[in-house]
Amino acid sequence: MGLDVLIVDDSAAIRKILQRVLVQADVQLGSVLEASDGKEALDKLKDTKVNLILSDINMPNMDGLEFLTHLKAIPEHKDVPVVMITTEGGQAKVMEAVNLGAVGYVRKPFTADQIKEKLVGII
Amino acid sequence: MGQMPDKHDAGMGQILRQRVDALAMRLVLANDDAGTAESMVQEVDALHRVAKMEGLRELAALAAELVAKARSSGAPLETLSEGLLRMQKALAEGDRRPSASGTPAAQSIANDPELIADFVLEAREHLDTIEGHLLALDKNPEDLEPVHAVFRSFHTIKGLAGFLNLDPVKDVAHEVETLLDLAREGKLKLTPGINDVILASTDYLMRWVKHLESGGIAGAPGPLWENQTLIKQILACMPGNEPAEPAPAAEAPAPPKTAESAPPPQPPPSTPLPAEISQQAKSEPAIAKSGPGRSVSVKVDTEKLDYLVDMVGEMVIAQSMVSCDPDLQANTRPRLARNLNQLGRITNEVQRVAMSMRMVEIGPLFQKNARLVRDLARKFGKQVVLETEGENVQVDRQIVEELSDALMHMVRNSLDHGVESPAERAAAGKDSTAKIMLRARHDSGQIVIQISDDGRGLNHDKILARARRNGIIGPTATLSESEVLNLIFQPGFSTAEVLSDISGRGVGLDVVRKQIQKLRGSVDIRSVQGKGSTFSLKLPLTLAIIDGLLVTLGGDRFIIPIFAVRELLQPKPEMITQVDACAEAVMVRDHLLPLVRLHERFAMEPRSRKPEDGVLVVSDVGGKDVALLVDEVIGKQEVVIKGLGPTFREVAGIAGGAILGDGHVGLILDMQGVFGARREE
Repeated sequence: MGLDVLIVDDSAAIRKILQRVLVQADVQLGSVLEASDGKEALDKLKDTKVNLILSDINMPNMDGLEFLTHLKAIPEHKDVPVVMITTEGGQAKVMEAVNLGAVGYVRKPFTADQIKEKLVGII
Repeated sequence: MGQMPDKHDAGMGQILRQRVDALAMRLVLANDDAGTAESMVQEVDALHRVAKMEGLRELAALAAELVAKARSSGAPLETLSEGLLRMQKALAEGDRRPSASGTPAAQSIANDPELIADFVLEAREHLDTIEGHLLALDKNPEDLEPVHAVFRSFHTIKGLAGFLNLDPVKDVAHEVETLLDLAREGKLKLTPGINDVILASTDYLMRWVKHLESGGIAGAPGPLWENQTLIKQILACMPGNEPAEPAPAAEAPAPPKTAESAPPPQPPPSTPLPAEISQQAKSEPAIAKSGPGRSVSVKVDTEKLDYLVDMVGEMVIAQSMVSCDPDLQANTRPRLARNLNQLGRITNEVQRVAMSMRMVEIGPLFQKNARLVRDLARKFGKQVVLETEGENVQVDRQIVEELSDALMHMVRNSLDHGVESPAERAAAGKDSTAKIMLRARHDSGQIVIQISDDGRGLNHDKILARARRNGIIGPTATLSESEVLNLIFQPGFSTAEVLSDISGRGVGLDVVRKQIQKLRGSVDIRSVQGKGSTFSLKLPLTLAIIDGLLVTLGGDRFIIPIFAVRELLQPKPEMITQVDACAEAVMVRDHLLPLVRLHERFAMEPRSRKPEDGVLVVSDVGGKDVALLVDEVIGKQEVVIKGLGPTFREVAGIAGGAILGDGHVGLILDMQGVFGARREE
């Protein structure tokens, strides 16, 4: 059975790239959900469960940190591993995200090997 | 690319160091209670996880050990103090293993044309919005929302560029993002000088987008790769002594504040590719701007513009003639049909754009009146505020120009006659400050401009009495409410008890109405005594094109402006009555409307003299319904109005000519003229 993943990023192109990188990293993907911000992500999670969430931090409407806070308050989703996607210069926010319960982070751009390494032990 | 893991580690290491230092500091000030200790242990645990992910093994181990120890210790604060010290040492020694091997992003992603196309699309969208946000910021520097939006744009571009190995793009976007991050945290004020640098960066990124769009590849170095001067300028904008992120400084140290960074920074170096010179030229005035209201535009002689619009009109007609050609109508080849359709679509689009070039916002016209109201109110000792609505409604430039005087006259009229003195208003229980409203809006293909006041309103009886006295109407005439109000547009009418030097300059409202009719518009009044009046002007969107009802008479065709048309009906002989020797009327649903037979008006031979063989076109002329008898109605058609030249300019009842879809000429009827002329006869 594949891994159901939710990818949260306001850039459609980045969502597409993330998906490809996951495939390159030999992650067996089940269904892949996409959301362009935290709000939409929470909406998508209303009637479905996923095994992994990759989320950007800087997004309009609801950013990654607020999304994480909300997510952790939902009993059926609070244990889903969330990996934050960050960029150079975004380290300070990563600390906050980890404090909020993110299991890890990867920095854009990342390679298949890098994400594989991050995902070991998470999934 | 190869250096990035180091940079990354250095940045993260710095953050970890700050956190550990902060924890150590907190410890010194901490109260000795279990809650404080636990919250600090949790933070150490978070540090442990981050250090582990970062590949800082020793630090991670120390943190993990500390968490375990502190939780089982009888004196957790002391254990923490000891452990944090060890962690500080470990960090100071810089003990770290290089993180994930720095293999470059997979080539398959970086070179994927589909992903590059996605990048071009998204980056272009972001870059297009940045300018607007920065302009909003120039106007209202306190508003942080545009800063957030621009930040996110650069953030996304940076992220994408990283995956696509577009290092020069990524680096510039990164530096601007850092700058904007400072701005959104209130650590940096975005001055116009800084905004110029951000715009210059936007231009630089746009050149990349265009380069990629035209099939250029990311990997081949060229003039576009030169971004150091630009990066230096961006760095020069940062507050000198408190860089938020140490990372960028490692590679390109910020120049000392004193030497190079005298604000505002210079525009970026001109390194245009041959094909991009025009783009560069476009961006230069943008950078050189000093005042507000910057917009990239070109001045064009209005004559040229009108000629272009005229020619586009001809092109539309020619296109429709080609596509209606019987030879082509019989065509069965799909390729030709497809190409003709394509031509039709393009022609329509060209026409739409050409028409929009004539359009200007009505705002400035309203503003002129604001000034007038202020000056006149002071002169009259009245208290008046002018409120406006719909200032961004687009109107044909010619209409704005020719409406200006009429509108000012009506505002003047409102202020003079409509608005009461403050004392009078107070006595009537009204706010002593009167309100005059100017509103503009689109309404079913027309522009509606309303001038309303909350003054005393029009006095029905006074108007009637004056009209009788001046012989405008007969002593026994009975008129509807709206007809009475419309009397004030009659020549020689004045409602003012005392002619003031403002309204009474010999220019009456009749002149205003004539001007509006000349613009193919109409004016209507609503008034409630004691509450105020509203003048509504209805005007066409543009003067170049008219939406017309195509009708025939004999072998000729005429066009009736469609906005005036109310209904079409087949008359029966018994509906028509002779009013006097030369006037007929037709009874339409219990209303007697003046009737004109078009063939009589123009002395032409109709297809049939029997009214029941023709069609009645009921139209609104100056607020009154009238009926025009024609032979046949062909349908609705948009036509480009052509002047008939000086010789025929004054022909009553004809507003112009138009070339119809089949190449024939049709005359455009001026309904006011058709019916007005009849009355004069």
